[in-house]
Amino acid sequence: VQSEPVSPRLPPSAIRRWSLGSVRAELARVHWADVASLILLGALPLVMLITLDDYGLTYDEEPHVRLGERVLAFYANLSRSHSSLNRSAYGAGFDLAAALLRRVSPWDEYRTNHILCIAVAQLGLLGTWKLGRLLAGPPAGLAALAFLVLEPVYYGHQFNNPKDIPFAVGYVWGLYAIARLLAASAENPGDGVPALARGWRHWVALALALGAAMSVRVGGAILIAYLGLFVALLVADRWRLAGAPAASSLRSLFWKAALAGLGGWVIMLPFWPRALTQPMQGPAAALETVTRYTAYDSPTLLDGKLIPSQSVPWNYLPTYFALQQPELISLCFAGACAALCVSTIVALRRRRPLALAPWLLVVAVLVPPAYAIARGSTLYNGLRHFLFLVPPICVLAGAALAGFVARLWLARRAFAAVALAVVFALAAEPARALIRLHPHQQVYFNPSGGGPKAAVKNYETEYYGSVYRELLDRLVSEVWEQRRSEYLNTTFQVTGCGSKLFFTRNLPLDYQYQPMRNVRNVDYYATYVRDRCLERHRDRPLVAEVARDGAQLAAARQLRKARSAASAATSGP
Amino acid sequence: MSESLHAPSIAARQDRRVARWAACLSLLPVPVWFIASAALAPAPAWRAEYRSSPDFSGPGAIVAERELQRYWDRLNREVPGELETQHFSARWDTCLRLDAARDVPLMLVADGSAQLSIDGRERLALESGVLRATRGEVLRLESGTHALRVVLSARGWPAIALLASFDGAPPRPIGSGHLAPGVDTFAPASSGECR
Repeated sequence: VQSEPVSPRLPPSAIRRWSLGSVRAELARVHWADVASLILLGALPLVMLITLDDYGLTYDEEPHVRLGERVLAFYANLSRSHSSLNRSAYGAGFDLAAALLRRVSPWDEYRTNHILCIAVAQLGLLGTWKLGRLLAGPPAGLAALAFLVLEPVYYGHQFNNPKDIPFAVGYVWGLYAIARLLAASAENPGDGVPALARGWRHWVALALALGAAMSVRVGGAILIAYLGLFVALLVADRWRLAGAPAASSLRSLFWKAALAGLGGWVIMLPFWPRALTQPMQGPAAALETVTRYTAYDSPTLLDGKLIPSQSVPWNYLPTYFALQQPELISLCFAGACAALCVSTIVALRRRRPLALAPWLLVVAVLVPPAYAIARGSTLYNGLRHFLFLVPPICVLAGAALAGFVARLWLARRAFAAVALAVVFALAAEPARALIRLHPHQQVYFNPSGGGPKAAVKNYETEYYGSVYRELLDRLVSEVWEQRRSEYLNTTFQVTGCGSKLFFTRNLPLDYQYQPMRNVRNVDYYATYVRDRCLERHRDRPLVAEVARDGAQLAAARQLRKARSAASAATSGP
Repeated sequence: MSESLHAPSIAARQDRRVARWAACLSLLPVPVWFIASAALAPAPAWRAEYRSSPDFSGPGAIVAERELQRYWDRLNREVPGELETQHFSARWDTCLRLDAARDVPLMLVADGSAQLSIDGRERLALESGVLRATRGEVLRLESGTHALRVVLSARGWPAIALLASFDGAPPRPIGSGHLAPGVDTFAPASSGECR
């Protein structure tokens, strides 16, 4: 672990003058990788704001909007019964913030949600950069950040996923706070445990991060387990190298870790009325609910087969990670794990301190899916519920890449140049995919998996409903062009798969949603690819479609021929 | 000697500065944009009056709305003034300013009974049956300011929209502020006049 990289060139008395020249001089003193990271961190929110309106609403948003409103109502009317909140399996950390923001926002609930989503996403990008930098210095921070941006699935979800991305943000900051404690001890190997036990600042930050993660998903409690495990490992490692630490240091360490965990729990409570009324039973029951999640058993796709989401095979998650993650990142992640194993063996043989922070990330990446597989958890929507693994994967991959290139640079610069050329060539593919797939980056499948075209019939691609915005915009434009004479006096009847909200929120009201059972009197069938809905009504004329990389993600077909203006103007058929 | 003593603290200070810059560059743009956009967003142009009775007497509420497109259903029951979702009346008023005369495709869409009047003259009216009803016409509107009023008598799960096309694109709900070159909407004065 190389924490807080040293740059000895800063003059002791740096005077701040806010001119362009002084900023340029300041930047000249900063590590080149930090400059690049700052540029990237500054550009990302601007790009995300510019493209914000391209992203449609998703399945999970409506229930989370309602949850936020219910939690707000809970605090407004504490005396009333709020029985439905006592069944909620999710904390409302994000949803409560969104509900409060809606009170001052001039836009509707979903646009406001999306703005908060990208604000929270910046925290995740920043946390990933900080964790990478903490682990292996500025180049690793830059590589971790770049890798996270180059994860198309994660990138797409940052705009309209009110649950998995906020949780991923809490998770990466929780890991950062724990890694920071481990690094603080590595900075003072002589002090070891006492250095970790001293002071409160890092512990308070840890409690905040734990609380933030748990306020979105109860699974964030696993961070408390990581904390306990790695503090124990740290003590054991110091014991191995320098004998038993003082009992007073251990006591202090134990109490601070316990208080940080408790503090995180307390921070979570106000965002989750169920936990507030039942601080232990509520979260425990919610954890059981979300790991089994028997309320949902819709089929999910794996390798071309529809399988019940309650009984997916063990390779469901590994397959999706292998196919949806850019190969470069998977390769670097595997390299990081291998290098870590070697360095650990060397450290054990030569009686050196173990690099525990990288191991923390390895555990943080491997344990949750292993637990889900072992428990036979309900799984669907590909890797969506495990997006929180992506930032730590990117951090480890970034650290491995930075370390590898640095070693090559020291050995022979030509090798490093070749390696960098290969890295840029491999990184170009997901970078181009981000643009090609926009705004449906979540359907990305890597070239080894055949890309979206090969995946669209065999795997979960557009399962979230975001595509309806583009599809229905195209449908309305086509109908306006093709049926101008009757358009002004017609209520078009539309049906399709997914939530009613996809239609009511993306169409003007002269298009009326009809449930699928009423298909007989419907003008248009508009649908996304999920649940093989695109295979229905294939014999009907195609009016509009959304396709990316040769994969049809959504389509609208005309079911009923044009009606006369007189019959259309009345109330439908 | 003194340099080596200072080095760790200098490096730490430098790192803190980089971290602060990173936090500012990363975290500030979205809130700053939100605050600026919210502050600069045009004021709601629709004055909406909701009442429990068809003659617009009795309890109700007057609120400002940004566009005229609303629907109510099982998940979306709330009517301003806490009125009963399936039995209320409402009227919406706005002022439409045109720089030049133009032909405007206008559509009134409703579940329930609805009328559109422009400058006090009824131009579109409809009564929905089992399904939602839509009435539209391409209306010639002269340059200047026009008072638009839409009245709805709710029945069943009500819905109401006033759609228009000012730029050749498909008709969309009439919103607030600048809608197209030479086309603006603004809220009427408290007296109901468009000035």
